[in-house]
Amino acid sequence: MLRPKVMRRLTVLGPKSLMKQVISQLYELDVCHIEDFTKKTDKDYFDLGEPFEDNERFSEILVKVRTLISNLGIKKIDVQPNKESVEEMARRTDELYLEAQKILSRREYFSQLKKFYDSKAIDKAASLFKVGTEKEDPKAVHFFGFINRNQSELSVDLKNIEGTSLYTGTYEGITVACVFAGSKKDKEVKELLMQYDFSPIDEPVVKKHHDMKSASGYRFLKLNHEQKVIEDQLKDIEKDVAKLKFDSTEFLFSTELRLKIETDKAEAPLRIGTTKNIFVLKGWVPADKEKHVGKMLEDATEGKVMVKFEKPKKGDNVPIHFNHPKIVQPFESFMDLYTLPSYKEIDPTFFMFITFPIFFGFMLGDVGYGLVTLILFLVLKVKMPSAKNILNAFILASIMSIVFGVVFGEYMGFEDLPPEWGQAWGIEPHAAHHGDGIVYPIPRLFARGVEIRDLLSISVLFGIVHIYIALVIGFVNIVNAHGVKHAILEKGGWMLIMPMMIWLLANYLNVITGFVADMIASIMPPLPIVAAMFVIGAILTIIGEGVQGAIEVLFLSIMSNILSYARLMAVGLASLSLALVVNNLAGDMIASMGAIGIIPAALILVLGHGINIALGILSPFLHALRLHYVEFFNKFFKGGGKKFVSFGQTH
Amino acid sequence: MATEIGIGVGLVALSASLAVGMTAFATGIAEKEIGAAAIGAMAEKEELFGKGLILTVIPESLVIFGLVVAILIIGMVG
Repeated sequence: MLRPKVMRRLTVLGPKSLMKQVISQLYELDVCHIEDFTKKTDKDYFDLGEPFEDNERFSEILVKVRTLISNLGIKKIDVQPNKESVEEMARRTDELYLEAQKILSRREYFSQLKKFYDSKAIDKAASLFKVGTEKEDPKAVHFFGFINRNQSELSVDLKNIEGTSLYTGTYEGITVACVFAGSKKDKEVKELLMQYDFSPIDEPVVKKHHDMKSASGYRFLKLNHEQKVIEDQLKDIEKDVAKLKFDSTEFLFSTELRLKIETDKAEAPLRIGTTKNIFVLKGWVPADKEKHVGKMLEDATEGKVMVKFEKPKKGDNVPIHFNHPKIVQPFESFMDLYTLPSYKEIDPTFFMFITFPIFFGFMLGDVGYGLVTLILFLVLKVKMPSAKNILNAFILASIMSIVFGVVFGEYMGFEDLPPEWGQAWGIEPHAAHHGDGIVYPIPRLFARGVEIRDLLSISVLFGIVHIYIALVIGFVNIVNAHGVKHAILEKGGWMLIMPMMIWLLANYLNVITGFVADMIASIMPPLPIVAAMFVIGAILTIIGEGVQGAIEVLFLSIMSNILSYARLMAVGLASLSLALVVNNLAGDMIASMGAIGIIPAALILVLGHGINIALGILSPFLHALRLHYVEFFNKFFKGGGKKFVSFGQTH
Repeated sequence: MATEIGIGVGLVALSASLAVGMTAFATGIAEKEIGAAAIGAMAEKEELFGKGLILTVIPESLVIFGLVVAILIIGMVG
């Protein structure tokens, strides 16, 4: 739990003819982190492998499938990979692609027309396009309007109909066409134009711009009718799109998944070193999977490849595979945010799992707020499954807020019971801390709004404990990396310096007071011993860390680290004060205005507590995180590990 | 308020507020620069969020110390 998974370096060497089997087998096993092969010099004996020959075909289909998914706007569903043959997948994808292309281009066209009508741009479209009408045969019919597709196709088609002439122009990317035809050809031309989704422009509009006298062409046209026609068309098209979506969703996603698997496999040789005849694959597998991987690779290749497992050597950049029980896993994302631990050092995720919710809860510390945030995060978890991990961490933090809320006796900022209840339950009354009168506080262990000095002392005590834990982890890390002597010089020194800082805080600066001070005094050795420890510690640190150590001792950097934990008190008090202000404001409102005051009071309560809860999530989160990243990690954490990414389907 | 506040208590309150207020100013000025730089760095490389956040909140300690000092000052009058 305190260390990442133990890794073994895997080397597979074999003839190139078996590369495909090895890659497929590793992909199925899904436990190997492939180390990318890089060619260092031109003289390097090995070269990058080439993707399998079908890769291009796969990528081609994959591009089409992804285009379809995004163009149709289909929501992702969970599917099994498609098991059809590549040819079948390609054929169905092409079919779908053509159909979607057709429907979508019509949708695009009609939405554009609708936009013209909505923005009254028809006038402009018509005026852009001047048609000479003076030579008109009065019996001629003409069609004037938009077509979907370009004019050259139409002019080819029109050539088959005798006595027609075509004039075209474009408006905002849409073709505007004017077709003249003999009156006998009226029906024929109309049918042809319908194939082009012809949408006529209304007569008055046309007349205004072009003095077209022969109205015969508009027999089939009703005024202002076209706008409705377009809307109906769009509705029909939407139905087609919905049907297409419904029919193709499963196929598209299962095909996408299958193709992704195939391209992953086909592109794997790019990460492997090869010569003319052999390949070498290097990677990492968890030690507990070593035997299984070895056996499966042997089975897949009938023992014709060499498989070797080695322990990591010094200087190897071993990928980090976290090794935590499920409940700790949410906190891994906090490590991702910072930097992953390196292979040799202690993985601090578990400590974050313990202390992060405590710090968060200590700061928010209100039963009501804890419940609200808990519900909020539970809802978000359902709504946003992708952020599940970090939300789980927040859920734990919310639960701790409720626990500390009970300890502090705070319920949405309310700390007191109504007097009748207090008397009935036999609760001891207290003089009010703000204003006059007596109050009946809700039973609690610690009143943080009143015992501010004690709250400060407790916060600082948290800091002392936290930093001692960090120093112990640092000690263990250095023992592992450089031996006991270094550990004593570097971390032992600081451990000896700490008591002097605590003594100063308790006796000289008076930051630690009350029962915490008594507690510390009972275990603190007498001052001369503390001073001697400080001197020895300082000397050890200066020897161990040189100039940097000397500066840190001189400026009492560890003291500022400890005092930094005072933020646990500060953020908590700020949130409590804001809640009190909101409640008092609302209370005054009802007291002064009577029953009518309930409305503004409710508004103040909802708004005020809403803002306070938003701040109450953000601020404790940032400060708890910072206490870990800065004060805690600085004492031991190096980081710089890279993440274990298994070659296979799960990633 | 019913109780009369003497000049001494007033001065203590004033100095406590100065301790918090001025350190808050200092924190603000320091965080302004760091925050801007951190956002710039994050725009280039998103992984720097963690480091950017930490660097940005480092000066926050100033105002925390200010608050501690304020509490100590108020403690002088009891």
